[in-house]
Amino acid sequence: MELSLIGSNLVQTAVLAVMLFLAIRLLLKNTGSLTAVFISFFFALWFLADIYWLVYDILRSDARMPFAANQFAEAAMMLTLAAALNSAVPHGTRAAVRQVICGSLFAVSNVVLWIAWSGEWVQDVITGLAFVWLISSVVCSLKVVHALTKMEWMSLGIFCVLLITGQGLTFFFEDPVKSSIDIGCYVLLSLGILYWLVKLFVSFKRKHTAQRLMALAMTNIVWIIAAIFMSSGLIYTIYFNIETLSGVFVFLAASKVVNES
Amino acid sequence: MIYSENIFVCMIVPIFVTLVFAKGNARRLELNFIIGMFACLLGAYISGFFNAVSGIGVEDTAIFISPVVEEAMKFLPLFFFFYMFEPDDDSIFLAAVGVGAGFASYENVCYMVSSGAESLSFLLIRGLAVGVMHIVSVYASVFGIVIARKLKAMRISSIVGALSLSMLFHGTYNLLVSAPGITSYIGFAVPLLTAFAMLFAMRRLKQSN
Repeated sequence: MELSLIGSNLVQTAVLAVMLFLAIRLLLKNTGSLTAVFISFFFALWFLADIYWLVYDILRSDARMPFAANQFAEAAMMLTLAAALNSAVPHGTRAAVRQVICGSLFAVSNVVLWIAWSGEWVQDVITGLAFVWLISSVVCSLKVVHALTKMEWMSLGIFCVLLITGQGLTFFFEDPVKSSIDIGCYVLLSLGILYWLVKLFVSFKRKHTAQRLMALAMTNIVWIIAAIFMSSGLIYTIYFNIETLSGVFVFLAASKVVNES
Repeated sequence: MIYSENIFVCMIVPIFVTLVFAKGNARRLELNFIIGMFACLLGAYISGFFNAVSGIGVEDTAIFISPVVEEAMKFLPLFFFFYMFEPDDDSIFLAAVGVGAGFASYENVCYMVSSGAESLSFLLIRGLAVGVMHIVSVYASVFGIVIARKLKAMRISSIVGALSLSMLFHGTYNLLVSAPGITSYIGFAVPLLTAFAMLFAMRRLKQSN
């Protein structure tokens, strides 16, 4: 199990090295683009954080990590992602008030769950603040580019409520009920990942606007980040691999934004 | 136990005296050298506090928490200088080198006092590894904010991102040298290799400018 995760981490590091190289090349060709700056920062952070995690897994995976450099980097990655998205899809502070409130509630619920699972509240609060900001930016951009229909917004809301309720209930039940709820949550998370991936892929195929692609690519990666934090074992490894693919989509969408601008 | 405050006082007194005689960049470098040493002392206090609070042990604190604390302590005075005085690129890089060198020198002296200075070869390796690592990591974070300023991308995300890059570099180094064997040799080599790579990149950047 550990070996498969280290293998996935190696693959992700190799992919990120390529993405970082391409992002820096994109930045050098378009020095005036803020999106290119933030995406380069994001991939540099992700690449180094992956190396850090890889070395930790190989050398000291048994040691407790209360607050380390990679957790600070996770918060920084979320902030740079949000900055890249906000530069690509500019919007006012009142672009989507209701959606931002609901999105922030979802993010805060996630943070509460992280603290309950790990007990490391310092790192979870710091990462959580960045996560709230990232989700708010993503929700605003989705609204501004009209990426979702009314039905999709409602479905997304129901999905999030079911997910948080399910994860919360696992604290109050013992096996086998707990395992059943866990499986239900995994199904919801996987359905969400599949939906965002298909929607993103279709958008790329139909050559939608760069802003719309960017918003969907970010939504996809945010959903996967949430899924990774909510999973363990084999499922975690699978989501981790999908995250690598999502990173590639983020770069493709960002490069389209940069080249079109 | 070592009396690090006494060592600090002994080290800064001669530098303070030379501040009177030095001028221009030499004076700035010396001043930043002292700030670097002071940042190291404060960083040691804060790491000690986190060690007591988290209860994870001295070794794990040094590996996991110290990179975060130390890089933040080095970055804060430089960021203050950068934000308040808006210096040109050369001045902020000079300040970064001074802070990094001061931090590394003071840490090396404290290490020698606590662990002994018998083995010159080991101390040379430590000097070339830790000494260069502190300079490279602080230089990288300053490089990040200078680039962000040049490209008009000064946001909280850029500042936190630049700081995170240096923390990750420092943290990876600490992890690598924490285990004996080949990984520690890789760890000792990484700062020097990165320093050469950064020098090469800076030259290319200046040529292209």
